[in-house]
Amino acid sequence: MTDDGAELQLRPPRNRLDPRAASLWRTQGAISSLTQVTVVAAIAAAVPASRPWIWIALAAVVAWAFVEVVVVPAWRMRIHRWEVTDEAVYASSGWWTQEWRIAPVSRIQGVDTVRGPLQRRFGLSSVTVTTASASGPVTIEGLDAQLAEQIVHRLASVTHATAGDAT
Amino acid sequence: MNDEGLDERAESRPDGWRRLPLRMAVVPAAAQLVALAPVVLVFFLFEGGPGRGLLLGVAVAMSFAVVRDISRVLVTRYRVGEERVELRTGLFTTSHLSIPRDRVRGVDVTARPLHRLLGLAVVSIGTGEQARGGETGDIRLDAIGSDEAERLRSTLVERVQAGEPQGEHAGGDARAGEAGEAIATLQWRWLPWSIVSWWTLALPAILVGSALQLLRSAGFDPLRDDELVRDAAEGLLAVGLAALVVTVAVAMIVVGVVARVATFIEIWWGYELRREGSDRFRLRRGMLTRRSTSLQQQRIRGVELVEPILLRPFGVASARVVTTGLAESGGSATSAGSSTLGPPAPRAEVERIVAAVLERPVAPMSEVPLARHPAPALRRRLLRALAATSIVVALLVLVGAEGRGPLSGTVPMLVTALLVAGASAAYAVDTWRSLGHGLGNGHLLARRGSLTRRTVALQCTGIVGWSGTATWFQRRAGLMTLRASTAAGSGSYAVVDVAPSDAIALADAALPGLIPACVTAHDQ
Repeated sequence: MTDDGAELQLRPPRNRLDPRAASLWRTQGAISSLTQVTVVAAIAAAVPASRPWIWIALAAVVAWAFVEVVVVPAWRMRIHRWEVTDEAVYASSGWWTQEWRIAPVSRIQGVDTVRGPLQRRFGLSSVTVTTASASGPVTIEGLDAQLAEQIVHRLASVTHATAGDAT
Repeated sequence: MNDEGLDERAESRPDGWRRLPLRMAVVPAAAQLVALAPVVLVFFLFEGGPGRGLLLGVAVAMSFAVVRDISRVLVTRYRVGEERVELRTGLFTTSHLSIPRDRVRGVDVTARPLHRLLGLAVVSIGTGEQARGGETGDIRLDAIGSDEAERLRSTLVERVQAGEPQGEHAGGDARAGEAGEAIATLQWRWLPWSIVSWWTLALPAILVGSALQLLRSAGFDPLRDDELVRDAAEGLLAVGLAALVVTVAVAMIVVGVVARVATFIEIWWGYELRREGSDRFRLRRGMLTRRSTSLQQQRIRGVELVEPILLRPFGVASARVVTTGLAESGGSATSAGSSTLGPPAPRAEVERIVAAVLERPVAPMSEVPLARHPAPALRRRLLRALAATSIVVALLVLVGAEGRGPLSGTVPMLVTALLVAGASAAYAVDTWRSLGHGLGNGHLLARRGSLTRRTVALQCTGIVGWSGTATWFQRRAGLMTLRASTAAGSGSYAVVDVAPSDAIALADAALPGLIPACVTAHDQ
């Protein structure tokens, strides 16, 4: 608390994710749910003794599928944000457990982009910023691929200019 | 090109690659034999064991392992050049590890009894960085001659001192003494504190349990077959069950105490923490396994004070250093962690060591007040205690309702439930009271834990990032967990279950201007 009883609050990062990120998450959720249903169905078919219980498992999988495909992506789109300035990289993420991370630009040791097959299909990519700490990486996923490239170039030039080994 | 100071007589080829000393090849075979001796002994002493087949299988597996280890020793080469330290090893896949000498952060020399017998030592050269690209984090030379290990250590460490970027130091007037002065040496009156530990009871139980298992697998049950044991047990039972229980308990405690004393001697014999040069410390300890660790001032980012619950009433604690370049290994029954600064000792003495290592007049833990964490944190912990108690009670009811087990019947169940409730509630309260955070004199302090209470004092300049997490439950309770990332120690240190405004204020005060915080006026 500062004086006069005023409280400090964290301002959320400025930029939202690309809208396609929601579609990406929905697709990922759908794929994993489909896999789970297949597994449950396979068990039901192969092991007759499990028949009465398997309906419960199936119901659970379907409920979770609903959560993963409908609820979580929309929730995530509200929480996930990012911001890259000359001083720091700031990102927030999560849905049930929400998290924000800040890495000062002077402490950045590496900037990577990752594009899985699904991400490529949607034209998205993620940027991972690593610091000297093993627990430090800041990951921003669901960025437009070109925007991600711009961010990486900008960070690479700024960190190159900073002396020291950033530990 | 050989480095000056390294032993010219050591075998080396013209291009600078050296081999490990040939006598190192003896070590794997000897180690395997030592490990297998108890098993072999049992098989030969007691007939009726599983038989020749198993023994043959074990012998074959052992010889494979020995051959593999000897080949590794013969194939390994290392080179210490002007710019890099390199290691080439591997039987089927050759791996080539290299570290630029400028990146070397710490050099650790360890010698187990077998190594010492042969005049060898293991050198661990650390950079404190994660593996990236073709460069790796650590190089381990297992093992080279102990003289050469010593020389290598001082050569590498001196070179680092010359080329280091200058970190920030606290005031120079806080220095403990001239270069070369010993900061701490072994005090035998610290020995009793190491005996007060869970291991005093656990170790004998584990030993007896394993011995019984081993004997039973050879077909020999002491309680059934051995005359002496049976007579003794029956004699004591004749006096009363209590006598038997007490005798066994006392015997176990005696064994435990002896084991702890032996462990203490083995870990801390010759303990010495000494300032070496103007910017390094040297920590030496160990009797059978001799260890020598160098800690460089620029790499130290803080200190952690550890208070085990059994020692807290006596005001006894131990300290660990938070530094880059040291492989983090925790302690166990028979070893202390690699970052431990000394054995458990009265808090005042530990704080003196902490102050010397951090180059401050007083340890941060003793001068910075720690703020309590809000009441919702206590509520969360009490709720968890309630949940745990409910589960235990439910299990008791399930088992006891069928009339089975020693705890059936209303009164024993009620008593057990009350005990569990009381213990978990006490644990919850203690955990909450242990929570604390503070900021002072360039250090961020965070405290947590009940069974092992840890207070970390982290240099603000060593913090390389922040992260704040809040689960759905934490958000509802108006709490969050703030983590400071650092290149040193365990990588991140957490301030758990704190009000978001306090967390932001703390982070903003520690590293001003980084957190994008805005002030909201508090309307009443």
